[in-house]
Amino acid sequence: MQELIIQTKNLNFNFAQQKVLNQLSLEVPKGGIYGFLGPNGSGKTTTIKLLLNLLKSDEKNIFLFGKELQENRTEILKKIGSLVEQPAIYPHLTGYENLKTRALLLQVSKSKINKILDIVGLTDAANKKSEKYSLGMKQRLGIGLALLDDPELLILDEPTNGLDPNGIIEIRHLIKDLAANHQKTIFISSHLLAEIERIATHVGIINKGKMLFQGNIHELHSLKTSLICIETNDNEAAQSILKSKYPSLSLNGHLEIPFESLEQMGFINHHLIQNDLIVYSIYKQKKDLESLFLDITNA
Amino acid sequence: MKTFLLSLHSEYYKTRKTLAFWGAIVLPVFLCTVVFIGYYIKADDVMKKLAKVPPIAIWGQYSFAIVGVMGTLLLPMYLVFMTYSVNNIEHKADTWKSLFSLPIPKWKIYYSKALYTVLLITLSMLLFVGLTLAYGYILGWLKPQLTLQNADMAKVTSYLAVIYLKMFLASLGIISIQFLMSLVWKDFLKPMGIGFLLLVTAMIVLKWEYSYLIPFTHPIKALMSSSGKEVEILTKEVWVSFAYAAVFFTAGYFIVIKKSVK
Repeated sequence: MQELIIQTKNLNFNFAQQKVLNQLSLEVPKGGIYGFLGPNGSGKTTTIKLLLNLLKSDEKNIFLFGKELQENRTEILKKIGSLVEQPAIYPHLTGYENLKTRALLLQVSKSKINKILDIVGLTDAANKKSEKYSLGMKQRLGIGLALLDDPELLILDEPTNGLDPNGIIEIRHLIKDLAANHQKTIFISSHLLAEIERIATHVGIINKGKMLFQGNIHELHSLKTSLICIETNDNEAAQSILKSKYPSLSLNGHLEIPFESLEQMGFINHHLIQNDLIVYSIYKQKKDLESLFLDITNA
Repeated sequence: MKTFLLSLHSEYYKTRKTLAFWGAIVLPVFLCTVVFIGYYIKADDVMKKLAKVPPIAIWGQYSFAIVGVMGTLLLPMYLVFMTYSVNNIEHKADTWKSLFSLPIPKWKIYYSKALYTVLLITLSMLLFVGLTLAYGYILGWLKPQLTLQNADMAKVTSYLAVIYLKMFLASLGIISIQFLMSLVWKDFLKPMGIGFLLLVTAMIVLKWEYSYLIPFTHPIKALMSSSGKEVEILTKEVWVSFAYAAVFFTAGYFIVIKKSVK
């Protein structure tokens, strides 16, 4: 069995009377990139804050590197670099000085600061005040701060939030590079499925504090169902003809029926023609992850 | 101990370009310079009034022009400002969450910040003593008629050092209360407003027999009880200031340990 870097066992959390996390069991394996996916307000940041011991939980059911978090807080945090919500940067300091402030606390050498600036592509902007950085540069500096102590695990909360397409691509490349060339385990949260699909090796989908799906990216892909799309000269008539046999049929400008087999497609075509309808088109379409995500989170 | 010192160093490094650090330097430099200029311009007028007064008493007059304004008027609000400035760096940059997710015990982060604030105020007090002496010495040289150069400098130095030490010790209670409020609340109006109300209350009840129980009366009372030849440092308001500091710095520790960082 694969070693788990993060494990929560039926984690619950409430803000006042509101239940934010409900029996959440995370299992993040060592290596690779775990995409923690969910709509805004689904409990992603709360989960991350619990993993970092920023929020207090009475239950002792959070384990990182195989150890219980509250009992081993400092030891565990030594192996984690994190970026929670917006990057925490002192605006009056330069990029270099921001890293140095942290480096002093963590007893990291000056040469390491320069190396980090290089990894996150901020060497040229190192002596510029960080308040003058673009949002993308701030995010990269935030990731640089998280990387400073060479952590085994990087926890990044929505690192592409608010970025333009170029910024998103830059961060995506950086994260892939960190996993592939620097052997980090990366736990990344996002509400953008397309973003996670591009980089993650494992995915957890959360909604309203509940884990709806957890597995590797291939397992998620295998959940993708296909549809038969049909256009005729009279879609409503076609609907009433097929309704009894395919109750899950839907009409969205064209008819959609869950795909079963090629024979099924042939049968439908034949059946419609026999009923004097003209079939303009009939084709198989794979349901994309976006609609799968919506199906899962709206279920 | 090493990580504690490193935390202090880090505090200095990140504040060294901010008002939190420069505030400790600007106030004594400004106040002492203004009084110096006043005495330089009005040296003859001063001497008309104090013609037969011994040099040590002229030193008393001159240094009280600084310490009087500082202790009665500025110090409490200055403490409100300084305690807030040190914490505001984290509030403003939203860095509490990253500080508390570092592999450093929370108490070290809290106490290094609290100690750093106390050290900044110590620096400020030391500058007051140093600048009062330096400007006084220069005045004695530039305006010999003030007779400041004829005083026993060892006596002057020790008197000033004791007064400022006493004011500093009497400030610890206010520092601990304001530090805790500034740590918990991001909004400056809350610690500032409450601090201001406490100061006004302290002024109103200053002559009440139990007013020494209110921390904002301590610096003024410390100053008021410093007249006379021998200054007693550990007067009751200083002891009460210690008690407040012990209670609030300890309460702050428990709040930081238990508090969630949102």
